[in-house]
Amino acid sequence: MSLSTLVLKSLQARRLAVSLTMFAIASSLALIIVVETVREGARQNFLNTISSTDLILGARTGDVQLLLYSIFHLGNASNNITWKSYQDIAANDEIDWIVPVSLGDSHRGYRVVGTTPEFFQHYNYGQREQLTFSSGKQFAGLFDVVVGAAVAKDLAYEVGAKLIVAHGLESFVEHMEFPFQVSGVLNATGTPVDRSVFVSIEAIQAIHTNIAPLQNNTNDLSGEALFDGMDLTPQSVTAALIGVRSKLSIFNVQRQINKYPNEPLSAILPGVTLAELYQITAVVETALRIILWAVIVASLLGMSAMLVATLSARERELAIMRTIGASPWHIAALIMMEALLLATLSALCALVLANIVLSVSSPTLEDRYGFAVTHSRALASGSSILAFFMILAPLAGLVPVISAYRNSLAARLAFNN
Amino acid sequence: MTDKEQQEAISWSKLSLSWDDRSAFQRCIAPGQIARNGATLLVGASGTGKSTFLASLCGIKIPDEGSVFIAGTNIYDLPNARRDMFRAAHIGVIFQQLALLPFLNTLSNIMLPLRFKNFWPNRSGDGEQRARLLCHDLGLPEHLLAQDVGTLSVGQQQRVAIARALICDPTLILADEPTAALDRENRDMFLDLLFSMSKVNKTALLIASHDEGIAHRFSNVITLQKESRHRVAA
Repeated sequence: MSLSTLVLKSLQARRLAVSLTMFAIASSLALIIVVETVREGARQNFLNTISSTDLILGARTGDVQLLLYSIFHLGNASNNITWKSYQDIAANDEIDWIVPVSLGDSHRGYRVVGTTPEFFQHYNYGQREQLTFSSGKQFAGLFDVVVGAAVAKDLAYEVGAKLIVAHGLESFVEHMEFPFQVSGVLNATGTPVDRSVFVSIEAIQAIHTNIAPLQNNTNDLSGEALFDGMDLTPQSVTAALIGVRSKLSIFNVQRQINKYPNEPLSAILPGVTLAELYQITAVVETALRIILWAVIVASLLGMSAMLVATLSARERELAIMRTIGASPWHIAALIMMEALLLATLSALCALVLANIVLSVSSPTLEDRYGFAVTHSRALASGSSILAFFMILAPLAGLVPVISAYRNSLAARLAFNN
Repeated sequence: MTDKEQQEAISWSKLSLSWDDRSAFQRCIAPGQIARNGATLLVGASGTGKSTFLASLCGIKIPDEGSVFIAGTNIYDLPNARRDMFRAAHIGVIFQQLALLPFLNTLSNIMLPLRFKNFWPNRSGDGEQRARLLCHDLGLPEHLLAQDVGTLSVGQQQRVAIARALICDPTLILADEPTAALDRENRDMFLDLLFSMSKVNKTALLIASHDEGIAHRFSNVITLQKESRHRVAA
């Protein structure tokens, strides 16, 4: 009979105590795996807020600030880009596509984004995933509006719903004369798009046009007909998303924009700036990691305590083995194998438990926060955590092993017991 | 190996025993030996050092002075690990409460000492063959081999304990109060079985007991007394 069989049979005989210990360790490890998987998912989700966009164009400002107002809709642009400059940049042969973004208005607390229909094609998030519509389609008419998933859910908007855009961000001045109609509702992305209201860039220009002279000339007081034949080309835009033809030319285009002579402009690499921005959470991440490792150490100490506690109960069993020929090293090996087997089984249980929890919570995470927690991601997070746990497990087994070894050397025999 | 060594299963010189944690305890055991096929009774009241003496003969407890030869080998000359393996190979042990491991079945309990006889487990299957043969000789039905020892009767457990003590074909069997919990009839049956098996297997027998009523069955009696004296009866 091998020592491993002996360990298995011994553990099996103490299955209740062993199962409870294993469950306690597995629960702690599963908790760590779930937290780590969700954290990594959230991080990836944040870093992939925008993908496929090579450069973000804005008026001269700091990188993080430009990213914050153009993509996250936090804060305001200090300056806009004139339409002429925008066109000059757009004419660059190295640029494959450019999509303007015009900010400044809001609807019931949600930012209104003036853009072109190409936005829905070129704004990618995650692993180059395109925006998709849960219902309806992108705007076609001047007063059509597309709403993000969170906006549609919070305000109970469906295709066909009417809404009014307010001037400014916290203004009570509403463009009552131009009611918009929802033409499409986007699927959740877990990005600021969910909390945005999209209109055409011409609509932004239209609602800011002084319509009094127009109303004098026509009986139609509102609607698209009012602007028939009118040039609604914007005077300026807040920012623009740029895709270049060759990745090799990104820095060249960035340099050209930064040196644009007619207006102080900035072009930033969204991925780099996102990573910079994410550094803000570094302290929190470090704190979280310390807590996670502390939980691992606590789990191992729990296992060690359980093994030491069972040693006194198994004193006679070990003494019998010692008397019939087992060396102190055999006894030590038995306890160490028990610790490693317990750790391995706990780790496997933790992986299963974590995957069950993530499977159950994944739809909620995707629905509310827009990021999916895949089993492969859980496996990736789990593997590194469990590898670390398994490296430390022999150390946790060391205390009971040394205790058992010393007891064996002390020659406590089964005789007369 | 000399004729004397061949005849002796175990011999010991004057042994001086003490326990570190019991400074008051000190015993001197006079030299002695047990021949192959010989049966010796070790008697003495509680606290006279019977268990300590057995531990010394096993090589687990090293005496302050003296030596123990088993099959011609001074066991205290062996390194610790070799001495443990030597014990597994040459000494069969029967305990007062039989001390079978409850989580192993009958066959595994019998074969357990084989695991410790060598550094690596022997997978030849010879051990299992010998275990089955011993069970047959001891009258243990075949179907009991796969059963948990907890389900066996006391009588069957005694036979399993004897089989485990004999599995490595030892030179010597040490039994510590094996009949203490038995009534007279069962005690005699157990001793009959033990004597006959040790005779068949040419194994020396040393039984520690406080029951002097069984002394007549032994060719040799060692009496340990509290005054640190000893008497070897012929």
